[in-house]
Amino acid sequence: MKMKIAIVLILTESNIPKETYGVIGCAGVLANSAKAQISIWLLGGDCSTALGEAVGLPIHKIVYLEDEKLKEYVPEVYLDACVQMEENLRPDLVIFAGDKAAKEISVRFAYRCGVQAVNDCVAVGWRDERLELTKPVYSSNLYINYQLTEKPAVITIRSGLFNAGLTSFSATPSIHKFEFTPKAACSWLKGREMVSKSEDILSEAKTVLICGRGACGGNRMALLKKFAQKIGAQIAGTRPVVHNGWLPLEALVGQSGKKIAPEICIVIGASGATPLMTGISGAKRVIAINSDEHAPIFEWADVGLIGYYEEILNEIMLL
Amino acid sequence: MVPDMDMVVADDWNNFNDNNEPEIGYTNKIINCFDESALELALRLADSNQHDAKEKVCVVTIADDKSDKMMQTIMSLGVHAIRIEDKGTFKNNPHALAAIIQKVICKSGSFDAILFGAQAGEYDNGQTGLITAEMLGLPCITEVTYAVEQKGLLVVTHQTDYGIETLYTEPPVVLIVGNAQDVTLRIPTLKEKLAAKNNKIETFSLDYLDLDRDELIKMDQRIPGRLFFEKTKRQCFYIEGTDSKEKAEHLYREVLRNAICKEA
Repeated sequence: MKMKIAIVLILTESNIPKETYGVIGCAGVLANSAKAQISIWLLGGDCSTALGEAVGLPIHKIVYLEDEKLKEYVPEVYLDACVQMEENLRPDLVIFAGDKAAKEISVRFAYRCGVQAVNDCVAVGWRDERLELTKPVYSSNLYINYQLTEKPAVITIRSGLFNAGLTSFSATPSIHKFEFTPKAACSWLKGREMVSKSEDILSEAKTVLICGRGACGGNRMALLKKFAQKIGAQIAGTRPVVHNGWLPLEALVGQSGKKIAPEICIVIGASGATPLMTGISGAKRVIAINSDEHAPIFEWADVGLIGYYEEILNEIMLL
Repeated sequence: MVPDMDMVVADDWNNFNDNNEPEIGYTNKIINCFDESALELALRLADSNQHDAKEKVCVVTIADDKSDKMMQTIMSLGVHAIRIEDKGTFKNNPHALAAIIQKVICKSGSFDAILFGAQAGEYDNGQTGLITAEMLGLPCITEVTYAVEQKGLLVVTHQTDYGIETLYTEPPVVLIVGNAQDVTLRIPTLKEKLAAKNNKIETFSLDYLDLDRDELIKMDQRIPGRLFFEKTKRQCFYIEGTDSKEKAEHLYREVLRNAICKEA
């Protein structure tokens, strides 16, 4: 029997998120060598836009679950839905696509299926007919391989590492509707209100200016913002910078924040700790400005400038 | 408690002991950044209730006695501390960790909020809190940035894929604290430290919790390979110049201008 790979997509927005295309590329790598069938599961309150987009994807099958109960994101309800889909569709491998929802649902889904999820995989493949995954550990300073034997295998993929072009087949997917019976009791949730809508400007940005702790504080953000404006860059920060409130949470780049892959990434005042580099490893060109000539950032950079950034930026502003 | 990875000498990441662990035993044990935020949020919840934190907040760690120094400092913040004796057997086994924590919670009474840091920083599984919620059958909110009690409800602000939202929840709930702003863990005063110096960390064994070590080990179904180091660094071209002005000119003319114009 053909192996079945399911890509689960929690539609917290109407469109298919950009990260999904990388997950399809990853599934394609696995499917090509195992002659597997790839399905995408769309779950949401309104799947119409995503369905239209999914039809053009290099997959075999689309299974969508559209239900009023999924209009608002409550993990327990989505979990219910995912488990019911698993019980009916029996995939061998389930890959959760996306960011925050994927991370939380995948682990709880795996627990309910009696297996263990492996998150944040950076490489996938088969070894001795077992699924083998590589995952960063020790704040991305080291890696470990895992083999999974239990089914379904449940994983998430680090974004920005795969692209959809890796699949070598083109197929017109068949479309199937799935009905579910909501069971989760959500009486614990008494109300909800949006504080702010997220705008994912960093993922799409061609140039990103990353501010490290050494560059921030006092009135120095003003210069960095002015410089970012001059060169048309989006501004982002390391964990300490965001933690201290110098930039908003959405601007966090690194292991626990966004993983970005811009054309140019200018890093100012960051030492070059591995967790930050994890977030920008996909950047085509990294330019580092730091006053410490021994800062590890220069080992990760394509272009380095040793000097005081305020002097450098002020001079560039005059050019 | 995790090793302070900022102390690790770069070459030691490629230096493994017989147990396939990196040779970083010389590092201090610290509370990881997410756990720090979780503890501070718990203390603020207790503060808002105008009760002694000790009556309200209980800190649990699964570690050996090397973490006692840090736990003693935490206790000076007025909290109750429990340590489950373990020499790192379960640090890459989130199911086992969750099973232990579940037992501690069941033995220690009822809680309104059970807070976890998002991930530990060693094996970065980010699963313990989620699995504990499943084991306890409790709702779970991830990426929590703030929590406060209002009229018997826990009002929880968290990050989602679609933005930042506030949830009004009826306790008990599991809260997993992610990146949060302005929740740096408070520092105890000397007076608080002196007052707490004779307080004892409650230490539990697995036997006391009716847990079998071998059964816990078996909970991890993954077949792990060896840890390995991979050098993925780049070749750096340095911008030269006699002063900042010259360097800035070179950077702009040789790198930035062309690159940015090309992008535009």
